[in-house]
Amino acid sequence: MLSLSQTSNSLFCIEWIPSGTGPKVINYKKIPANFYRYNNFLDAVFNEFNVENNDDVHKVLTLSLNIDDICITSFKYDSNIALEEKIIWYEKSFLGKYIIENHDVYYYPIAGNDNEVMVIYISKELKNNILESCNKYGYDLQHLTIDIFSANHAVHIYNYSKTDNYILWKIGKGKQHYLLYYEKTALKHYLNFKSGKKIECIQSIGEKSLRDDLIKLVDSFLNSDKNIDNKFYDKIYLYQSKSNVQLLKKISNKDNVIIMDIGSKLFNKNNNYNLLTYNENGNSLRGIDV
Amino acid sequence: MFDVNLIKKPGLKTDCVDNDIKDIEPIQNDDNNTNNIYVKPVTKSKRKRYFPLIILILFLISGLFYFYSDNSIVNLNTNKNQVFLLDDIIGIMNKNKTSFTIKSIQFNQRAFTANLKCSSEYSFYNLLDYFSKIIQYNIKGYHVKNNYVLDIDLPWVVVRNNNFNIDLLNKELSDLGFNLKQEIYNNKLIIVSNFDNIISLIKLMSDLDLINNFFIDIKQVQSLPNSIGLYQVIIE
Repeated sequence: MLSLSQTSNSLFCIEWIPSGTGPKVINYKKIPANFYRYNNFLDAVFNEFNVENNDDVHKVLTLSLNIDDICITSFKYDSNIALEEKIIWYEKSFLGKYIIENHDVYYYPIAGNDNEVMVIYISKELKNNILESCNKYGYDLQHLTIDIFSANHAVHIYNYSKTDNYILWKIGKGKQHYLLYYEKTALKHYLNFKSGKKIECIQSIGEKSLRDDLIKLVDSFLNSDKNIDNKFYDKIYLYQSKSNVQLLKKISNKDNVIIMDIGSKLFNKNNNYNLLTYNENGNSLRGIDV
Repeated sequence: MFDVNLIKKPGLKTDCVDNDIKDIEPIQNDDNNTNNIYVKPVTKSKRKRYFPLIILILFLISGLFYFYSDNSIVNLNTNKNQVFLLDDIIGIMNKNKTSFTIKSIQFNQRAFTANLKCSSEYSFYNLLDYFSKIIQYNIKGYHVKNNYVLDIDLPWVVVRNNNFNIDLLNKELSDLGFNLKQEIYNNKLIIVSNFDNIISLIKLMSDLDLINNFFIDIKQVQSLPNSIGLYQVIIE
């Protein structure tokens, strides 16, 4: 099994095989993403990353894209009008011909009272480039996802319970943060914000009240030591894609914050926070007991 | 678990909660000498799988019926009766010719469409501003990654005038000394030229009241670098 995830200009590669005690990592490496729009991207991967089990008949690949390679947006709908009808209208009147002809568009209704749909669209050209490169090397692309959504597939290896309400928090580069809030297994909010003396909300999808709660929460974590009264979550799963761990450690001192230390789970390297970005290879671990 | 998988078929994902942990069972490889385990999702019963599909098909049929029976509801923000002067559109293009490249321009039975790729964010907003002043909602702008694209969609009709055919147009263009590379093939007039000549051609056809007489398809010549700026025009 080959697992790849891109963050900024780097590609995080893991080769693992299933074993009786869970996934056994054969090799892992961070390599430069020396390709443009995933054109022949596996050429660049195999130049830098040595895949040992290359003769495997069933070659399976999972890939997690950089969040900048796709577009995320949302719209609200009236529950009295069928969502399928709203989508037809939305494609015609909002997205328009250029987006529809050149992109694959996915609609994910968000759980909650605000009747909001998260829209993710990916360039057909980029997707075709990925599939063509996989075909060239005989790989079956089993799962293709994005960034923090891939890391969400890794939370189950960190003391996760299906009845939890949890926050998945990614500390990105340039003071950018990404949050997903789940009630049990249902996604209820996506939040992208910039940290600073004041939290600057860049994008929020889901209930407005939840957005306010999440912003209050991150503000209390980042800018003050006060605890918030409304504790609407059970756990916070935390990881980052940058090297400075100061902020990570500050947040992890709070209650119920779990650092997603994938190094200790997969690579037998405890407290090696340089490996946290490998959480975005999580889509490779879907449903696997680690 | 909520699953964003962009390999799946695009569209509405009401089944995006993927119960992967519950539904996945390990299947032992036939080779008992290894610990290799292939992980395979449990397949649901066919009846369960087809039921949502049947509902979706029924819904789509009724949706299509609704869509075609009351089209005006769907096209809320595009005006199918938008009045405009072609000269105004061409004038803006000509004045700002260094700010964009033409990806395609078409005059067909339904619409006059233009797809323009702007050279920068600044020119994108400038052009969007100029065009929307005269055609309002019939222009859309897209900023995807570093691509700035404008999409014009205006009502148009082609009314054939049998007295003036492709051969006559070909002769007329030759006589006027436009110095275009042109030839007739399969009853279509094919022209390859640069931006200025293309604009002059459209202006001329408009002035001679011939623009509604033909289907016109203008595309950038893809096999050449963008900087060369040659366009292929097919008139039929």
